[in-house]
Amino acid sequence: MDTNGQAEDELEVNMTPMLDIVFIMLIFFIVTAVFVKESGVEVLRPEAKTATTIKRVSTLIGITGDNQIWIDNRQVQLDEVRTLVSQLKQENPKGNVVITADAQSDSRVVVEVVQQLNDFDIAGVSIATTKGG
Amino acid sequence: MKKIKSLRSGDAEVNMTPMLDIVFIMLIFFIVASNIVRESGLDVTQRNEQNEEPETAAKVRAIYIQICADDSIFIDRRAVDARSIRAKVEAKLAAEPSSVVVIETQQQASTGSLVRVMDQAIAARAPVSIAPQGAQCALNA
Repeated sequence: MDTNGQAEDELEVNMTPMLDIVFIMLIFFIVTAVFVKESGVEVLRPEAKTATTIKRVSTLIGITGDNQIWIDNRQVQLDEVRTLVSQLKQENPKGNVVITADAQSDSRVVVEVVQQLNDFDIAGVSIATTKGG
Repeated sequence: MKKIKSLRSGDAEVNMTPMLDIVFIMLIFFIVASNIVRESGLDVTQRNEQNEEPETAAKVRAIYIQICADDSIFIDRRAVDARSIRAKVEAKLAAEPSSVVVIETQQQASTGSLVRVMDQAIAARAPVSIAPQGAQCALNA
């Protein structure tokens, strides 16, 4: 009887090491997860051959064909951009900022937005493009 | 001894299965959510100029590319075709390997042409920066 009981105990798989690993993976992915603030507008992006893939995108700034600037689903003025982006940047310090500008928009708006972000020492600013062209 | 044995028996263990299910679902959610956005684009982050020594900064030659309001493109005040920018920049880089490309745009020039010029300058392996002030267009000069 005694030996029989021991054999029943050892039939169960020890789940503890797997649980440890699963928890560590879970915490890793929670910590590294970056949630994107969408701009809220759809634009026709310019094409570029040298475009690189941007990972860890946290903020999208949309610039429409008629030069409106959109951040986080609302239209903003040019001088609001830097305060808004630095607020969003505090939520995700390592996230990158991507400017999705319409190919028809004035380059003045794009250049001024880039300049504001650079003046504010916000790293990782890119202009979104489609690959090819 | 008998007491310890009874404590170790299977009935005392907590049922972990529902918790494991939830943990797995959360794990899969975060794995999927972390990879959901993949943008492609051109990096326009300015290098910090304060770290550069003034002596080296003075030696750097700039290749000015101007984009006018009608999307025509000028290098050194000479009109160039949009498709020949890469070759022109490569030729200038071969003559002056440490030069940088500075893109100046007029206010009404389209973002599409700005990106096209940047694309070709990057393809020529030149460091690119965008000038904050607008171009004094060669046509008006």
